[in-house]
Amino acid sequence: MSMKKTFEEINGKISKGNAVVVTAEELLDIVDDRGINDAVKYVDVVTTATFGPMCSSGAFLNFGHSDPPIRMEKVELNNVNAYGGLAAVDSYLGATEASRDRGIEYGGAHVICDLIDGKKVHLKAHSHGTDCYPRLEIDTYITKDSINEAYLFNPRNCYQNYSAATNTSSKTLYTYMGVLQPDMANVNYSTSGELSPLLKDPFLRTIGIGTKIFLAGAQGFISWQGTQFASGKPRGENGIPLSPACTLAVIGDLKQMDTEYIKPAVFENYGTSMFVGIGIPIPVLDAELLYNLSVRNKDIYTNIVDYSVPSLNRPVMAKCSYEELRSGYVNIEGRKIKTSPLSSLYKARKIALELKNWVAEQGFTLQPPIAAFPKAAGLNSLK
Amino acid sequence: MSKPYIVKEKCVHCGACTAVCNEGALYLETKDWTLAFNELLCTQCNTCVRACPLRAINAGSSI
Repeated sequence: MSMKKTFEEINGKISKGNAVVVTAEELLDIVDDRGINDAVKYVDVVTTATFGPMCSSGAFLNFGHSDPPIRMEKVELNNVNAYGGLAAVDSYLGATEASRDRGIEYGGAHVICDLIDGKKVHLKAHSHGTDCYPRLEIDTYITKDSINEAYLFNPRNCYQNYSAATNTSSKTLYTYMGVLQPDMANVNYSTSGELSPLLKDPFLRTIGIGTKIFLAGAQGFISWQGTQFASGKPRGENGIPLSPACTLAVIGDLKQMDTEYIKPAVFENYGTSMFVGIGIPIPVLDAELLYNLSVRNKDIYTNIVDYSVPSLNRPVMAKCSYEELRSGYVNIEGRKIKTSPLSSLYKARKIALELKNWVAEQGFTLQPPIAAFPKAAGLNSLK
Repeated sequence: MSKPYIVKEKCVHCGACTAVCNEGALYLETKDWTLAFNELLCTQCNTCVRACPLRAINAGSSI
């Protein structure tokens, strides 16, 4: 009978400092040496990670009340518009919001990272005024230490198996998947592949609401299913969805974060975005989970879609494995096409190792999901 | 004439610049997936400068 472990047992070992913790890449060698069943007994936690552009990100901020108080309606931070329809001094700043004076070269993501770095940020707010909030405007400077709560809340991160992109048209396309040269001259992809959290636990057995994660250098949590969550997509034999599927909404204390692991980004002629570093520790509960954890790039497939077609469902030009994408070239219709990543494997490895240290050496225990995500969710489109 | 300059402190080794470098001057090392730059292959088209999402590449000059 194959071994089964529980979160409680594994957390017990973590608390005593004798849990065996490896990264998802390190696990592959262990499985080669020992086989699945022996590896289940030996390994307790596998760390996974990713560092890539995640546009659906932003921060909730509470500025504190001024004297006299203001109910902020129009809010700007370093000339970037933030949402003011949240009571008096709560605001949401989206990563992709461009600034009034510098356009996409400085946006919400830049403000968020400036706050994380402890820089002063110019706050301007206006109000029509009310009897109980009489102030009409405020023009001041804030830092992450001068304000109350500041937490990153990203509605859609960690996309499970995002498609690769190419361009069959005769003109260059500037997209959130980077620059796509004409006539299918290149294919861009964004994944950490066999290190990726939702590719290693594809059914999200151990990942749900409340899961403790590494988020931009701080401890964070999975707060809800991400937007456009589609767990009902068709899957391959190894359980991995064949097209973009599940996503995660994540939350964490901005004041504890580190811009080593979160960066503002500008995609030329497209817009501002933000590279977010996320790490998720996965407990080795049984052989079935270890089988998922040991899937390799050569067995993870994705679609290459044509971004020149201006429709919601873009045509699939080819399917390929992540091993092929990582090789530097894929074959489409008999042509050898160059491939480039957008997601940094270098940074993802750094995060996986850092999280390994948190678990193995610093007593970072794992949180069983407080609630699981839907198993067969589909998507609506806008009519 | 000077080649483009990579600001190492800003580069996250995402690889976005390699998508536009048709000369192969910019590439990711296969061992550790860090960005490498072979100046000998660079034709100073400077396309990489705007392709870098981190704005970590400064344009070379024609002077």
